[in-house]
Amino acid sequence: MTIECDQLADLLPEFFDGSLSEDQSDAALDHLANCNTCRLTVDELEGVRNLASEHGRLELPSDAKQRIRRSVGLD
Amino acid sequence: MHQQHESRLEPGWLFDTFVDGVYTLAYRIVRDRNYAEDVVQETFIKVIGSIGTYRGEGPIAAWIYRIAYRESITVTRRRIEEPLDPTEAMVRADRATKSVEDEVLCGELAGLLDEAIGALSEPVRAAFVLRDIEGLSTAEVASALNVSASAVKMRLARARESLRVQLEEYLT
Repeated sequence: MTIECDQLADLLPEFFDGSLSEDQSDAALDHLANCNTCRLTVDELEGVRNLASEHGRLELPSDAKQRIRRSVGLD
Repeated sequence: MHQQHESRLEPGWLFDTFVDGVYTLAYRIVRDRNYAEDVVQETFIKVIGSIGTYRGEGPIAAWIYRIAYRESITVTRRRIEEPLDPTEAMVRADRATKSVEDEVLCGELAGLLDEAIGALSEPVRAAFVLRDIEGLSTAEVASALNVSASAVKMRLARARESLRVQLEEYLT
């Protein structure tokens, strides 16, 4: 099974979820091994996901946390 | 197992476990610290008040984020339809100035990420926040946003591609 760039693009959500079938996964990896453009794109998309997980989460300031805990009846 | 299930529904545990995640989703949707805090408060009032009706029919995270997302949408619409009266606006502006977004969005990269996420459409942003920031599964995101898994995948693809283009120089 061989795939083209646009077919790989369609598979990317499942590729990142790790939910491709074995055949699809093999075809995706085979395509990436031979296509610099797609490999760069996938690396950058992986970078987006890493950036989001490392810098995207916010922490509610502790004063607000205490105030809201009290207001919802937890303290 | 039963004991573990019981402890997972304990209000204090739910608050401590999900408060930052709910705040993250709320802030990313309403784009204002004070309003995001309002969303957190309303969300946990509802979560704690209706925990008895949660029957374990789906992941607890999806249930909580579904409430938080609805609250975020409600607050966003209210902001548009009912602007604050001047006194309340001043009080909130003062609070915001004292602790500004800098406190939560430390660093240039986080600021750029914040801008890029803020530029996404609201449904796309919500899917991205829940999947790629909060780490929910695609199925959980679909449940939280009440859309199909394929709709979540489409939104995620759009979000990731938009951020890839906007943040390209920081990704390699």
